[in-house]
Amino acid sequence: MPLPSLFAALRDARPRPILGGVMVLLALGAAIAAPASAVTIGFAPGTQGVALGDAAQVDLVFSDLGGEIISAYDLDLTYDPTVLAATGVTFSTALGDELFFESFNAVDLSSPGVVDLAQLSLLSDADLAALQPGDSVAVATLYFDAIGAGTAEFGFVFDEFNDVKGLGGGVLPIVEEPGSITVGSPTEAPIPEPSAALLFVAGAALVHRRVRWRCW
Amino acid sequence: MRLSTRFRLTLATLPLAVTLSLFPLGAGAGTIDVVLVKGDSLPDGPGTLYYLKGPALGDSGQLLINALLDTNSFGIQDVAIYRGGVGTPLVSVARTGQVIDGEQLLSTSVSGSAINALDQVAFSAKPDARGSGNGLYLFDDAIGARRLAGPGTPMPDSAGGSILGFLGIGLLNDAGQVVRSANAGAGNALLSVDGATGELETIARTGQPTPDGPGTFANVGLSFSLNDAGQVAFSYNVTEGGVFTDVLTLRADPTASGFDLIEVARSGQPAPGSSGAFVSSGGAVINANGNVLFTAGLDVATTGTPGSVNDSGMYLYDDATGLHEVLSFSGTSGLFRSWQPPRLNAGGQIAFQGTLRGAASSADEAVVLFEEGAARILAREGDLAPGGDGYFWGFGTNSPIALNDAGHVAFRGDLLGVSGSESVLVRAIYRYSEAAGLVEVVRAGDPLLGSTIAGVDFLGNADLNSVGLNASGQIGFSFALEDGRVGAAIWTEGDGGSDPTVAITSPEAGAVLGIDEILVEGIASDDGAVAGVAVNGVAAVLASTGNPDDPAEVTFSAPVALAAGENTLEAVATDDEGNTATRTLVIEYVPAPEPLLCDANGDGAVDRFDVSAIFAARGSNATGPDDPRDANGDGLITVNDGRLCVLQCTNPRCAPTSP
Repeated sequence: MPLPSLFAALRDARPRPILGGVMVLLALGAAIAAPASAVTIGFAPGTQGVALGDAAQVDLVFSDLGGEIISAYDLDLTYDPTVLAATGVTFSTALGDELFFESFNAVDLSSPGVVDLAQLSLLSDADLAALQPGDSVAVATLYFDAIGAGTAEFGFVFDEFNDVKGLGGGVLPIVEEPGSITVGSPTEAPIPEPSAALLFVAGAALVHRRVRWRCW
Repeated sequence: MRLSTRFRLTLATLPLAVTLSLFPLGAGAGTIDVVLVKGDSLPDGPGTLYYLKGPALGDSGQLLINALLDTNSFGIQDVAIYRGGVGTPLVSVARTGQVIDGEQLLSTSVSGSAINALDQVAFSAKPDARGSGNGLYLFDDAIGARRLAGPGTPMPDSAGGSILGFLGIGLLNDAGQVVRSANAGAGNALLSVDGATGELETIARTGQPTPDGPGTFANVGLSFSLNDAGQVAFSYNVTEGGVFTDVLTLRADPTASGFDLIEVARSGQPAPGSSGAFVSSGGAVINANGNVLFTAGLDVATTGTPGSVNDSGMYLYDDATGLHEVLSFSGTSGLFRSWQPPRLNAGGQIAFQGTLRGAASSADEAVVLFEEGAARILAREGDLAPGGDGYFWGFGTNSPIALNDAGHVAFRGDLLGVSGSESVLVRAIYRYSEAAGLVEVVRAGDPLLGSTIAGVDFLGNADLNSVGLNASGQIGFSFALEDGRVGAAIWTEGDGGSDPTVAITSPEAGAVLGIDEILVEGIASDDGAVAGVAVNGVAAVLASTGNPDDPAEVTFSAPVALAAGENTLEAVATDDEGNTATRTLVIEYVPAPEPLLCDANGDGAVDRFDVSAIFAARGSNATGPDDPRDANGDGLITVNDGRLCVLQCTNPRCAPTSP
């Protein structure tokens, strides 16, 4: 279905009687390919240990993409604010380079224990597919200060405002992969094992541009 | 409450390309107002019209209808007299069973009605308590119906006796005077009745000596003519010793002490303009000036058998010049070989139906208007009729022709060859005027009241002042429809094709509008009055402009709903004659575009500014179902909407559409 028609169908679907709505949904079903399987969201490294007072960073990685892409997302990442304090986020260019008007990126760290980050690509699905050729993609690096001893487990809040978009603007089913940072004393800080995910995104981390605070 | 059916039909006739008439046929237009039709409820009781006679049309435009009803009283059908006009309610004048002056009217006796310019009606009726004779009654709006005289009323002259009953048809002039023949016992009498006082006077009576010669009046004829001054023209047989000797044509002039009788013509009297003498006379009519017109049979010894009628003439008497010939069969002015009783108006014009001389048979009939010494043929057998569909075949018997003081001539015509048929006669009514020429009033085949007219008829007797043509040229007629209904209607002349003017002043032609309903405004006028304006079928509100130079000028306004795209606005103005004028113009309605989905800044495009706005608003609720930021319509502004809108961007990578 051509996109203008699709949008018209979307708009028209709202007030229409049930039969019309069903027809629109059927049309949407034909236009939007459902992912073959859920996309996994995780971290690289998945776990790590840092000493109290040190800084830590972790990459946010989507994997198990299959033929899917990540075209936009809005996530609330949660952590233990007594252990960590988020200090910043840098976005990869997997959804386009914001400096080239290829994406909008946003971060909100104002709520302790929550990293609210969002990215919206202005690129086409085809362009994104070219930028995301593999089965996983690191989309951002999150920075923390270790402020308290303990282990901060990462989690996500998926609700009506927070989700991940794929091909054709479709919402992707998500499987969360655990992640955490353990803060110990300087002498007790565990040495993390490099994860496979980290190896995948090492290159991507090199192209982080900047941290942008949500300011609009 | 108006009980009559009102129906307006605009008729128009076209100028003829080919005609044998001696004057140009004109174009005309008029409206038809149905006053009463079978099926209408009646103002005086149950039932409806079954059949009707007449009708006669008064000078004020009131139609007088003698009606046979579909109800029964006394074992037979009821009869009634009704009066009604254009825009006025139908009024009951009299009806079977009605009680007038204490007497109940029997059925079948209400007849012989006449109407004057004051809308008074004279009629006869048979009360059940007074034998078999008819009484004479007068109806007016102020008093209603009252009995003037009737069986048992003493005769007003020295011969004495009493009235046994009134005869024939009465005449009523604008002064309220009624003239009617009555059975006075030993012979008849011509009586005059003052409608206001009921006072009777004898004009002439059997046995009365003739005024200027030997003999006495024999039986009183039933044919006479009355003008508004109270003068009466009539013809009377004279008898001497029980033998009819002469025929007199007389004029009776009212005086303070009765009527003075003036002999206009008498058998044996030399006929002016001829070598012969009068043998007979009849068909006397009188105009407003007291002039008397009559036809006479002549004995012209040199051309035929002495003592017999071998020529005929038409003669006019006036006080200034006396008696003189108008036309004769054999004279130099003779164009005719026969004629029916003529009509005479105040201007001296004469109209009649005649058969033209030189025709091989008697079947070359014509309707003639004679004025200023010349006869003009208005319609002639074989002529193509106005409207072009059919040829005149004849003009009826019993003289269905009328002439008024304005010079209008109305007559009934029978047509042949209508729509290619050579075997079907179609009846029609025509009217001639100097201004409009000959125009068709109505004909069988015309649509009326959702049906088709099967036949029409028109009252035009020479010696009646109650005819189907009134002083202003309106025509009253009866009609029968193909669906079985009968009725009576009034035809009113149009303004001769002068259509109203109409113009649309707002909106302008070609205007491109962004609203789906507009008020169409304009201005209209007419040489008469603008009856209404409809804009795309919507009746407009009219208001006078107060223009002293054009009192009929009005503004109009009407709301009109528009459809997307081009719209044709049509204003149709109708004048009081039923003429119409139409003006149209085309405008375009371009609906305001619906808010473009994702066009958050409303600039008509979707670009990164819009996506940025959506992205910035993520996490909030949409403002409503039309919030362009809510692309998926879930009521929330999320990155889902942002991404959907990215895919909707006008340019690649959502590049701005303008700097």
